[in-house]
Amino acid sequence: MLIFQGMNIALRALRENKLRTFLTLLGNIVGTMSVIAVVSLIGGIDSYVKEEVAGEGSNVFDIERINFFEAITDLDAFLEALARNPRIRLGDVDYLRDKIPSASYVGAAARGEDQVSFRDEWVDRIAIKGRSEEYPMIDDAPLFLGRHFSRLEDQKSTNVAVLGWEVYTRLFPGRDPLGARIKIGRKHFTVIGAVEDLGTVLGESRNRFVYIPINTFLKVYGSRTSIDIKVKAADITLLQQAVDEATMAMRIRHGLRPMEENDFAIVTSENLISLWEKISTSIFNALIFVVSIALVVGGVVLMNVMLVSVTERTKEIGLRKALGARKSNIVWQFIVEAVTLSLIGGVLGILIGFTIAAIISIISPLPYVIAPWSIAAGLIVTFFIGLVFGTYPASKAANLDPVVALHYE
Amino acid sequence: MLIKVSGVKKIYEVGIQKIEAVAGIDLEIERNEYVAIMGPSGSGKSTFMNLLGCLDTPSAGDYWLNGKEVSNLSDDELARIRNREIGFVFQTFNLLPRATAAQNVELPLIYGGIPADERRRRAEEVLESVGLTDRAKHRPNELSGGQRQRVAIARAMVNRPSIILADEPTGNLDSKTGIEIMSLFDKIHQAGNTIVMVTHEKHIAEYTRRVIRLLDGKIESDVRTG
Repeated sequence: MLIFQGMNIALRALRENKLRTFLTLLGNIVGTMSVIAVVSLIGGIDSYVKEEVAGEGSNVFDIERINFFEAITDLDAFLEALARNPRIRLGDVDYLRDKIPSASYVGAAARGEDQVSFRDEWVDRIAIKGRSEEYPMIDDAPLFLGRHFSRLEDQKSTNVAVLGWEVYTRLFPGRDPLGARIKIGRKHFTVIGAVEDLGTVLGESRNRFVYIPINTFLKVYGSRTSIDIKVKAADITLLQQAVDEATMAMRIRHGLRPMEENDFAIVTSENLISLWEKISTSIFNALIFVVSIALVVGGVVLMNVMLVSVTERTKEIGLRKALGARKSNIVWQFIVEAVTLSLIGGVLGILIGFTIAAIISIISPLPYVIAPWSIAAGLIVTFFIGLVFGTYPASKAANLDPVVALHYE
Repeated sequence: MLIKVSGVKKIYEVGIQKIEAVAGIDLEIERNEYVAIMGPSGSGKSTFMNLLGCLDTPSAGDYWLNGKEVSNLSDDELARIRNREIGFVFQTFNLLPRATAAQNVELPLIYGGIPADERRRRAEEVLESVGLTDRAKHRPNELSGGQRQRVAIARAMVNRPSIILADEPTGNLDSKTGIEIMSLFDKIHQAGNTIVMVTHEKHIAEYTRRVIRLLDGKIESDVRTG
């Protein structure tokens, strides 16, 4: 009964003074809102990263000269590697091919960016992917039409190209591209195939590329480029074994002594996920900091408003005491009121937070998920904010002298 | 004996000065008495009422209420005594503005831990006895001054207290309404209740059966009239 009474008083105060209540609860609203919005968005990206990055080609890893992600996670190690590591050449790929028993395919890869044009049409900033002929088995590149290039074409550095969906549809709208002579940069290439629409990743098109043979790539873009080696483990369970075998083979190839560090980098999708986890952890830490400040400020404001409320209702408190209210009755009444107000702030914050997350995911490519634990956390935290910051005003009310309170004007 | 007060003092310290608001009062009140306490302002009658109402404890002396010594009880024990033994009627009515008449009347029962259905039944009963059955769902601002004081009287009676303490109950009412309220008190007295009323108006004191005059914190006179 007294619980409902306290809740009623809080709800009535809310209705009668919407603006004041809103300002009172702003801290709580901002706090829970940020938790909900950020958690929803991070959760969305998280499940995306884990499903897409890990799911697709998760048994493929790269051997690269340097791991660019290290620039984010460990800058010193990155700079050291930049100075130390030798470039990886086609010869290394050939050497590795029969040294990794757990791998089903080993291929070479290099990447540039250029303009691709056909007659008067052109598309800028297209990824030029140089590949050895195994690439259809390693990359996600299902053909829409035509064919992939052959080993012979690669060995002879033939100027042939397989187009990504966007390049194909922009340069050849409604036309057959096969056999057409396009230009990549200033060199002429013959179109021999096109890859299906691969959709988007986090708003980035996955269709803005052209495949050309790796030897052709090196001829056009310079043979001193360091290439990457793509290794596909025969099975996901053999991934770690394949990584170990590749590491050992590369160390032998580079003549490293047992104590020396690897002078190359292995990049797995697990690396990518752990990098993402590092980033999201630091976002969470920053979030906890911001939210704590918002909630403490919100709690202090709530306490202030409750103190004003106690003063305004001194006479009412005196009356209740005269009629037989014990201290615990008064404490209870004001704590229920503070907790109710605080929880209302929490609920508003949750609703606004989800709205913000939903709006962001509509106007941007970021996905979002509703994490039930974040709702529970928001409600529990605001509950305790009300409890903690309501205690002082409530005990102040309970300890009023009934004679003084009754005659307070 | 319902009330027995002996040698009761209330001393306030203001700086180094000691003020005896109540300077030693001995008094006995029987069940079903109807008593007026009169006196000029500063005579200590308000302080004495607070002591009788267990809102305050005396600095010295004893107070037996209904056979129980109540001058040394804790705050919560005093709250329980106020809840069970005393019904307050105030000059300014002191109703909760946002609660209905019935909810106001139920308030002491809530603190007495009475279950909801019995609270409702007893609130209806006392509202009927003060003639406000049809106003039970109204809020104070929808009631006249006289009706508000009737609600307050109903609230004072709902716990069937040993004494009803009324502090200038007609002070905020016009004289015609004041007469109505006083005849209601008459009725309550005749029903067997004990009433102690503070007033400074002689014609109000005339309704009672015993007039106690205070001066400088002491009893100046104690006259039975009926």
